[in-house]
Amino acid sequence: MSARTTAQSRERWYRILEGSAPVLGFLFAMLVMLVVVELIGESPSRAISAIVRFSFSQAGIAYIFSQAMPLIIAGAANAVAFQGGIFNIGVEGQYLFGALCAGVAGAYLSLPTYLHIPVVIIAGMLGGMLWVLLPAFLKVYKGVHEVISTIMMNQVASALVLYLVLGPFNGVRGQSLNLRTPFLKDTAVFPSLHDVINSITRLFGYEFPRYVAVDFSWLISALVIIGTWYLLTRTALGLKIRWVGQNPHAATYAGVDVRKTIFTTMMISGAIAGLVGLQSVAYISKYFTPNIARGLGFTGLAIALLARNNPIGVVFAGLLFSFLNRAGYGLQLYTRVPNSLIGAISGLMILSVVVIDQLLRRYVRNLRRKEVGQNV
Amino acid sequence: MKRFTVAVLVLLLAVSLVLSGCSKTPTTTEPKYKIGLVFDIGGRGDQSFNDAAYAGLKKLAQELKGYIKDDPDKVDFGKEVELKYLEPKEGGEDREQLLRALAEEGYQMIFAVGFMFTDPVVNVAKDFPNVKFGLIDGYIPDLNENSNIVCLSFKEHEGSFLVGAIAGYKTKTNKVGFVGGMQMPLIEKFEAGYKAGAMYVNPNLRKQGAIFSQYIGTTGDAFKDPAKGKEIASTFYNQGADIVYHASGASGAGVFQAAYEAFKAGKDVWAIGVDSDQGLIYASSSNEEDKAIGARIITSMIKRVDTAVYKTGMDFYNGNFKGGYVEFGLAEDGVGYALNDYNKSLIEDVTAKVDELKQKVISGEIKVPTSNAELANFQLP
Repeated sequence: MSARTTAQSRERWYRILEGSAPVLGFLFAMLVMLVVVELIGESPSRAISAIVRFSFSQAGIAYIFSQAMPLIIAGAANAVAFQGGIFNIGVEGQYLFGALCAGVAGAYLSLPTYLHIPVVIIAGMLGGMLWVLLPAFLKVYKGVHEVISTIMMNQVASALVLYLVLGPFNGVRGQSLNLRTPFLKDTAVFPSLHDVINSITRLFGYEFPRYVAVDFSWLISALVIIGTWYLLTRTALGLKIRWVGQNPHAATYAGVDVRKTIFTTMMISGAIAGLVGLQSVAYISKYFTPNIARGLGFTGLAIALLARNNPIGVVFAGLLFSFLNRAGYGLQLYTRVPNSLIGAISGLMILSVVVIDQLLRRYVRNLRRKEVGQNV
Repeated sequence: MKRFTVAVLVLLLAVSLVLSGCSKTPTTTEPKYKIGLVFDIGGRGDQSFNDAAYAGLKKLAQELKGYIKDDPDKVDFGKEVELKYLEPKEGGEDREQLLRALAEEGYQMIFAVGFMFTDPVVNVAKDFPNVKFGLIDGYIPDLNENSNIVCLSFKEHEGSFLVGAIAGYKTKTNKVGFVGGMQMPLIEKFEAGYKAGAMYVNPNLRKQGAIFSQYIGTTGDAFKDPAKGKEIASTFYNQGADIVYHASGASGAGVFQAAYEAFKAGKDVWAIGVDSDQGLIYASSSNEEDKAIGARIITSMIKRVDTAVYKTGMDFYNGNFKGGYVEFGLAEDGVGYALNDYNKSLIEDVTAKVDELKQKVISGEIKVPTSNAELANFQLP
């Protein structure tokens, strides 16, 4: 009886320890930041007040949520791949190409709205899938490691996209120097969700300002998260993906077609990745440009890592990274911290969040192992 | 676990609020005017485009007895005007929120450096009708004098035409080269102008294959890749070119390095700088090798971003701000070629002829092409 309760309470303690890892990591990261700020000769309290003032203002909160959407999708794309044991570094190239496909579908097709928006979304997904197709074939049939092939595909995507926008899909008119595709047709532009979202948040006394992107991509992010969660935890395919991710040999003996599962995993990851750029293409700028925000795929890797490849965790990790971005700008605006150091600081924060998280998790795993050893 | 996380977050928030409460610094007298600026990616220290904008801010501080807020160089001439700059990390929404933050903080005139600010400036200017915006290199249609946006653009092709002419006059091998950064319409303006200038003055360069041209890359990173710049320029020098012009931002350092190494290997070769007077920057360095590299920069195509920022800032200060379009070409001294104490002896023999060309461009007798397509129809003498 008493042995059981101690075991139970110990288990609870482990859970708390594990669960608090990201929070501790975040606190440690803040500490690191304050030390750096102190070393520069700026007062830490001023730095904190700058971050709080800038991040938790009405605009601040809105931007943090809005800019978290592409990050969440990128995180989900990486998380699904990781669950299946795939290291998809190519999310970067996949979303670039997906965004181009979406932009082209939105600009050149003439369809009624209820068809055009889904077509744009599907074009993005197909673009992402197309871009992971070759690495997936190489992985499944030739055993080429996906890290090599997808990272190469990133370079190819960047060059091809530039070629296509310079050539056949060029929409630059007049004196503008911004390289871009033609504007999307009105029927393809994502509707704003300000009214819907604000009618809910108004209950809490908060409203999203009009100038921040609160659009259809929020719904897409939500669907992606719910979809991946459902897929991974509630379907046979999800179980297979996780089995293959944990141990492909054991999965083979359990009767799973490993090749097929790996291929499917990569395709799903690519399809999700193709959605990352949609907010920018179909709502904010209403055209595709090769100058679209880059690097979201790599941030997505860190997000998936921090979220332990859990789709629900990805939401919080995405929000955290979006907050870090905004916090960096707060420092730039109100403190003497030089711009070049802010990049280093946010890098340090990411690193410490991820490292502390990993260390704590390992620590708890060792404790558990020891306990199991004692019981046996 | 969830409750625990929430508790910690709430605690954190409370602590930070308390801290922020006690950090009220005593406010000094408010400056009369506040002018903000947002750099393009790359920011301060690129020795080229962004630094030229920074030089404009510095000149404003000097002239208006102002100071640059939070600047490590401590530019401080008085408290009349506050100047502040920011730098974005990523794409569209990041740029927009920085512009918006400056406007909300009470900056009355805001500069946006680079054409990628085009859409963000349009969006923010709509919400802040009393704030003036200066957009460098961008183009926004349908502006007039009463708009709160002024588009500051440059005729880079005209300046490039002159340095192209210098290359055409000075080449001994009758082969010259061009290294571009990222392939895009803006950089093509440099390329077309340069080729036109070289072909205009030197018939040997009109032959197919006499002017080499290559771009470094397909992303913004092409503007900070000196290794690739060096590789391309070295190839050009090995193929017989003796003058190479670059329009590739910080990648140009590699082009200069290639010229210096080819020179050390016994070749009589030169490079041409861009945006700032790069020959002067290198030659006046305290580092011996930089000095030697500077001696290989025959001239630079100067794009006076500093003048654009300075003039617009002064106009705003004096209450003469006008919306619309200002183009800085040869006529306005907004572009040109660099002539300094170091390269004077090198190009003295051709400056008279180049200045004659400059007058022809200003008078409209020569219409410099802005793209390779226009170059094909360019009237050669």
